[in-house]
Amino acid sequence: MISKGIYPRTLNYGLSDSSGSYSMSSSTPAQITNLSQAITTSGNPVFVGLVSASGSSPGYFGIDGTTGGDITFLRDSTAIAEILISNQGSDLIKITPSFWHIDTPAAGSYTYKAYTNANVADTIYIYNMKLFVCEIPIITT
Amino acid sequence: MAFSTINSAWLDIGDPTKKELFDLIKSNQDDLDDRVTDLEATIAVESPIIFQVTGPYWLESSPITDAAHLIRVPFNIDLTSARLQIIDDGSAGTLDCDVKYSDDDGSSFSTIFSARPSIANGGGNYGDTTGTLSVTEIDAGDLLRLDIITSMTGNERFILILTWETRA
Repeated sequence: MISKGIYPRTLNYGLSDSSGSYSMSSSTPAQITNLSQAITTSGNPVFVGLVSASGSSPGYFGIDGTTGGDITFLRDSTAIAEILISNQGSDLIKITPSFWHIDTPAAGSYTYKAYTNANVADTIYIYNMKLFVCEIPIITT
Repeated sequence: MAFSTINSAWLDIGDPTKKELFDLIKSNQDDLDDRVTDLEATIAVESPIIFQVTGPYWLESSPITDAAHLIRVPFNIDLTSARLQIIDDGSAGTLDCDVKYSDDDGSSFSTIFSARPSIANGGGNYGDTTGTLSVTEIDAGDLLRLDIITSMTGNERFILILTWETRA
């Protein structure tokens, strides 16, 4: 008689609070309000991404200026992915965010964060977004 | 010792009763008894009950007692031993396991141990230990459940083995 218990039985993930109506105009990267999420992993790859915070307040990444800015994902204090968003015009553009990254850390406890920065004098808007982190399950038997 | 065929010519009517005949009968009886004894010992040891855990169970809050590992015993048994064995060593913590039984269809569970088996991290792969049984008689239809009382971080494979014998 054998009873097999396979883990994880539930998805190992975390979802941050909403960024609310965040904006900044600095070329120095800064953490987006609330976009920080801790997770303890078993060594499998980790999905890190931005998702819309609600079904009623649209989430977006906006650039008001002529150049653009960056989204940077950090694992603790280490930058693991930098994504450039360019604006070659002069009008405000709003992008449906689908920024994500697959991280491959060793097993452990980490805090993932999303930073942003503007180029030149542009203004970056991060509205109604959450940081989603999820260990990708690998099932063995 | 081995079975020997009795010469049928020794059994003819009117033949004398020979010592050799009784020696042969005794030898065959002894041989039969040896074989039956060995066979009883063999069939008394049943395939063990195995609780097998795979994956990072330690990501869940312990104790893990929510019946993820459950067996309904199909006949009366006597538990004879309990052994906990990890496959891979962990990096922190102690794996402490309990096995509980229920004779009321899961309404209540009680431990089978007076001393639970537990293994601390750092002892290397394939570490094992035994538990001390306080309850051995499990009846047909009773439930056996593995509980993980405390976890060993980093350990992702272990088994808890219960050996048993059938009971009338």
